[in-house]
Amino acid sequence: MSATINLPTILRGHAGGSRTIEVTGSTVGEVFDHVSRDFPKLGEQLSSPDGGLPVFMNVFVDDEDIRYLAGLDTTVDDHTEITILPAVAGG
Amino acid sequence: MIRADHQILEAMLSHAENCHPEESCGLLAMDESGRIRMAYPLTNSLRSSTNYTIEPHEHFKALRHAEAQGWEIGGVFHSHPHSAAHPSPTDVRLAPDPEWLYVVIGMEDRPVVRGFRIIQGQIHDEPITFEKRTRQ
Amino acid sequence: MTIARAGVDAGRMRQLGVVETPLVRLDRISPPGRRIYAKAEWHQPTGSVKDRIAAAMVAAAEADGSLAGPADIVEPSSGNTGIALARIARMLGHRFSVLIPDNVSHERLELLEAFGAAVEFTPGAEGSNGAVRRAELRAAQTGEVMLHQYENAANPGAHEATTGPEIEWQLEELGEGAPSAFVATLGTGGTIMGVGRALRRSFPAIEIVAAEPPAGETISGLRSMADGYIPPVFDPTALDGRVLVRSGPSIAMMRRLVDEEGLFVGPSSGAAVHAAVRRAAALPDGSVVVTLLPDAGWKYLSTGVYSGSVDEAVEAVADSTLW
Repeated sequence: MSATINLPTILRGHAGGSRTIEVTGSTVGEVFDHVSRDFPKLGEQLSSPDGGLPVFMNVFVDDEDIRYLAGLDTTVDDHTEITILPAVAGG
Repeated sequence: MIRADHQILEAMLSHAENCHPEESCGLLAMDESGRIRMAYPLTNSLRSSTNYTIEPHEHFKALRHAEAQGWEIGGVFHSHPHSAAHPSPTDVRLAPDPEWLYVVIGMEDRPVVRGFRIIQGQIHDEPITFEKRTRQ
Repeated sequence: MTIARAGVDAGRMRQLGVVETPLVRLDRISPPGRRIYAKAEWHQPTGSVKDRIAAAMVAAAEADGSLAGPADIVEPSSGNTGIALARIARMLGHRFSVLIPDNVSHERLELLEAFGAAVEFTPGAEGSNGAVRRAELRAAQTGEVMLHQYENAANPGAHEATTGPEIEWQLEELGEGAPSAFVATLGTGGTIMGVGRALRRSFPAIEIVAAEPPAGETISGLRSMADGYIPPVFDPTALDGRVLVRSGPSIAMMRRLVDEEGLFVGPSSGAAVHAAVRRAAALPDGSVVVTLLPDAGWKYLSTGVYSGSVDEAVEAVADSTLW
């Protein structure tokens, strides 16, 4: 199973400038593990010390926030679109 | 020099007024020529007068809407209810993208709107011209 | 049956024309083994679910004295609420003005004018946000009564008092057990919040899921400009899921409802059912999902969404305000 990941501009540099990448995996967690393998710098942005996603990183699977689904265990299949959106914040 | 319809200015200002005394925030969509085509007034999920975080689901909706029109999300606007129209140290530290336009609305006196670039921790002025257009 | 909930006078709502709508089962579109039921709201007096909230908001304003004698009312609306209010205002002798984005279908304008509403256009590019903002400014200047559908407790209250209970007794009559999910489109948030509150009381484990259009078409981050902060109708923390539904899938499902179920529904119904089908497919065999079809297709015929291929239909409504 290979999903398409839509990258925000800020992360494209870590994936050779690509706007989208195709990565295999049957869950979001697995897909991100494979991302770390192929694009280590990108992988660093997607993991936090406790093993989960960094709290400011939002992930959508086919238009649904994975927090409402099964988090990193959310299943993924061919044609799934994963969109990564770092939080926009300030003061 | 960034250009936009006057409506964009009005949308950002009224959102800032509506959210006062909390910080308002939103995203800006640009077309291929770099013109600002839409200001999306979004929810500050922190509901704070000193900080903002754009509600992620709304960010996603704005992204999808912009894409459908052939635009890109190219910037963010937010207000400072009690201080000047200038990026704060927090704004500089958390700036998500060096290619983005950062618009800050200062509400300490009468509302002032200013545009900036934030690149590697350095703030640069980015003037914006708001044009009144006749309806086509 | 009169139910008093959240201060909403369901009896007065019925007097103003609100009816109990049929609950139809989508036999062909439901994923195998699951049952999707949908409230058919075009049976309301002006053909949309908004007749419920228009009646409830007017009833509440009558009760609190803000609509005592003949009054001037102004309200922002992308169509359905305006039409519903125009009818009631006309019946009761009030003057009604509506602020509406300039890219809505002409049928909506004609209906508004048929009911005697005065129409003021707002820039289509500003969407619903623009209409609300401008209406608040105008009401502040003119002293017209504004019902604030996005912030009026009678909006979800109408659904808590009528739509939700109707669903419960209709499911019971059909011999169905507890529904697993309620899925509805999100505009003001009234339907999802009000029905959600009612159904959760009887079915604590039910999932409440909102189907949303992309940004630019719904309200975000708006506060009331009146003295004292009035919280908006919509509380995102009360939801169990939020699904973005774009024009393409909305219209594709709308066309399927016409072709396969024989239901002549509007585009937002397509969005609701698209999200309901997605949810149902992820639930176990035997699950029941309830949704709501806000209106029929009459007002959208001129947009071309019912003719040609689905891609052509999506293209046809690209710049329009549909929800």
